[in-house]
Amino acid sequence: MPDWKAEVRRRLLALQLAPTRENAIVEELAAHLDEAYAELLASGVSEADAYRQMRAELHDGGLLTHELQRIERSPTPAPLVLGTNRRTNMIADLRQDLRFGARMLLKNPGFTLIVLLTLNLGIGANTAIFSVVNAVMLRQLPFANADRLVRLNESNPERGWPTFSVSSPNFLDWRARNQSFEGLAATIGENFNLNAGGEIEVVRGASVTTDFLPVLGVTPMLGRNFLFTVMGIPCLGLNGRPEFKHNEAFSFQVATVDQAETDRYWNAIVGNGGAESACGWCKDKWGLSWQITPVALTEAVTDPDPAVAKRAFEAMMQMKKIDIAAVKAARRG
Amino acid sequence: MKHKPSPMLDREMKKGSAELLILSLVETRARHGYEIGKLIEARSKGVLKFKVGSLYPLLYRLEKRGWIEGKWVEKPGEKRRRCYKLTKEGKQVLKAQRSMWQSFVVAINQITGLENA
Repeated sequence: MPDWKAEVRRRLLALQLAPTRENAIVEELAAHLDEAYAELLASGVSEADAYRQMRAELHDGGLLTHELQRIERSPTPAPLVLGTNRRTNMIADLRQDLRFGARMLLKNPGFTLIVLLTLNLGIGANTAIFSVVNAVMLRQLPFANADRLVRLNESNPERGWPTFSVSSPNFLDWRARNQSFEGLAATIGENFNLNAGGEIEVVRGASVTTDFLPVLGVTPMLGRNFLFTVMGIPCLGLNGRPEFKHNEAFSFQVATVDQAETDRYWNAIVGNGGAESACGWCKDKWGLSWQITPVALTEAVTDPDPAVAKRAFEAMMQMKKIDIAAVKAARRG
Repeated sequence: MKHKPSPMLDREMKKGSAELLILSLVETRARHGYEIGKLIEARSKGVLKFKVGSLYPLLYRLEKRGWIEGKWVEKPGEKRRRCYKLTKEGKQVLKAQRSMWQSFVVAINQITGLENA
């Protein structure tokens, strides 16, 4: 029996069909030709004649090749329908690819493990690198004009020290002669002991110059800056460290008109963590000294009559908070 | 002298009716290509004959349009054959083509029959 498959395949070569499609056509047509050929033989036609006849039908002026070319290679515009399986349908192909991929991964657990580990490492490493790049290069410092902030260091190339911290005297000189910067501030990291209800904890903090926060352009979330006002007067507070304490060499003196005003100041200072001293003196909770001095007392101890003044002064020496009535009584004698 | 129909008319007539013939033959049951070819030849008493080169491309075209559907069928002791059956869409196409063809034949008959009568 002639090899019809080879005969058909030869005629399909030029079409360059997908191998599976080509095989299907070859098989189908060869089966047809086999059957027709066998029938011819059965009807008494000689093998040679039957072969010639079938070949002629297959050839038929190249009709088969010509027709197949039109049908098999004409692209059909496929509508984009989910779940259908057309060659040009990307979504359908994707579904099939995913399903195939999942089945293959399940089939080869070892390979799957390696793929997962590789992916894990890749994603992890990428994330880590991005975090660093983001923090170091992409994300700005959380300050208003981060691009105008610079960090100053000293350097001493002769000694082989490329950078080192600025000394306090140098900083003060730089700040005094500064013409290049809006402001200069210094800071040094330090540990502090925090005593919270008997529990002592080491807290990481920093000692900074008073203009540190204004230079950075930030305001404190809690509390106030170093600058504050007392009765309308701008003041500058410094952290004096334990070795510099407040004492009575400096005090605020408040002249009060009556006992009520005297009491109000006194209670506000002493009652808020402060302490009574003597003769109208007291300390607030920071150890700062105050004199709450009624006008009546000042008049009494400066009375032109020395005897009267002495009596008032002696009465005052017995008092902590000034008692205006008692001062007046002493003045009267 | 006997006039033969021109080969062009012959081809065009076959072409115009081929789809309808094939759809009709696979309407009730699935058939493979050889069987379809044989049936056309037998039922037309040899007037219509489809060669391999035209029958299969036609089947593939109809299949591509979704009017017929081919499936490989294996029977014990035989080679597997690809059998075609009518799809839902094909059924509607067949219905429409059939009625069109009938009115066409009626119209042709009315013209040609009148002339001959």
